[in-house]
Amino acid sequence: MTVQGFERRSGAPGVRNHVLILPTVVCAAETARAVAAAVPGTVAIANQLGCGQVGRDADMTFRTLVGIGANPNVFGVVVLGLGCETAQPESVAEALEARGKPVSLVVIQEEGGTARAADRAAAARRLVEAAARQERRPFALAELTVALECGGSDPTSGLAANPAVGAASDRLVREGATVILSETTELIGAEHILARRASDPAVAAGILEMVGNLETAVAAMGGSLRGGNPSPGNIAGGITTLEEKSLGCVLKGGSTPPVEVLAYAQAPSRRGLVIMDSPGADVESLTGMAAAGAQLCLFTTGLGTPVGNPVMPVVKITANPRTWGRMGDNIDLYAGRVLSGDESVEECGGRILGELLRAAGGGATRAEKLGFAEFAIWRAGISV
Amino acid sequence: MADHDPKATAGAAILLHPADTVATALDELQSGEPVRVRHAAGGEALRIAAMNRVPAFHKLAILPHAAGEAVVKYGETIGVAAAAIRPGEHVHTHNLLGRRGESPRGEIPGSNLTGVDSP
Repeated sequence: MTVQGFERRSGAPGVRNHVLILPTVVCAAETARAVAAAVPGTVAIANQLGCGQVGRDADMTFRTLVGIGANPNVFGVVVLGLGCETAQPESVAEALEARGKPVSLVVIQEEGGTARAADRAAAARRLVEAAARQERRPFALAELTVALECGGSDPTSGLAANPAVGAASDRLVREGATVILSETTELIGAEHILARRASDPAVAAGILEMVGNLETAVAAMGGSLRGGNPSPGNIAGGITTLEEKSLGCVLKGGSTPPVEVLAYAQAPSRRGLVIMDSPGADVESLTGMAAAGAQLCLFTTGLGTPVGNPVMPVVKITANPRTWGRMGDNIDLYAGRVLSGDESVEECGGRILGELLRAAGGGATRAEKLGFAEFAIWRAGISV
Repeated sequence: MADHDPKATAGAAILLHPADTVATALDELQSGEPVRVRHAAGGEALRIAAMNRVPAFHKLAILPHAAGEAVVKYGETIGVAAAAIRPGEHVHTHNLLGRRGESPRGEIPGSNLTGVDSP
């Protein structure tokens, strides 16, 4: 099995050939949006952070911005800075060049305002033209990193959509690919299953530590996850407890051993099933996995969601017949025939893999047809 | 792709694991309705009468639970019974409490102590 992708100077091939307008701070985000609107074939991210951040929080934002720019689906990047921000645009540009990306750097305060910066950033046109000349060629499935996500879950997610994605995950791992299971909150109550299956004791300990750290952080805030997770919609749909939600969520990862535990937005160093520390909030989790280098995402939903990503095609799957009937413009594949016994989990997993490879080959996902590019970076601290 | 045959899910529930104490309704169940509970892997597990209305994809007990007893789905504990639960009864926030992700003191700001039935 092969996938048609775009070769990169270093690292894995892309399944898209985006030219990214990357604002290093929220203050440059509107200028970035204006540039993307003026230069067809470019995409801007709506960065809300990049300044007033310290320590681990600042590191995480920097790593995420660089990671999104370095994603294999990105052909080249216009780094668009304000100038005075914490996430220094020169440092972001240098980090991207070090990872083999064509980069053009534009700083609003140096250029002298939005109009001049936008004129300079229109150099993105050259990147778009160069990207258009590149042709796809076949690559092994082993070159893929696939993000797993569930959002707007209901019990059909754990009953059918997640097990079917799990079957697809197992097939991807057997082909040598990497799949990322994230959302630490939704490992709570199911972490023992992943730890038991881990490739070695250090990975098992890493999974338990990651979940323990989250529970400690929530307790330190004097709080409870109740009210936040499961969400009101999860509960109305029939998911009662966090354990129940988590036990359904982890089925997306299939049955292979977890081989590595990653920090948020950290690129995997091993092939196979990897576990990333991220929040249950979908857009932040997707951003972290895209920044880790995932070229594609399999996203299950029970209640339905329109979410996409600026650089990573998101294939959405539901097993809820009502959602499939009512939210067809947001969902790519129906897995509900598993519930009625009309399709096996394995068969459905095969269809999901087929849909993933169709998207990989250039077929637009529902979120791409809508032009949706949600972006949000997880926080580890307060703004200062 | 065509949706599934509605007859396959009407009056049906699914049991995900042989050790489970609850099944998941595949369609809305009415009080008193006979329910065919089948194994996820195929084959009928048991028949039971629903004791309340159970919305589609919500849980119903297939075994009696004493208050404080573990409620099992996916072959794993998903929480404990907050009150005695009879076979056929709807199992949700009114009678099932999670044990994880909770404040160690059991105090939930802005809510009642047990967290039952938030509005």
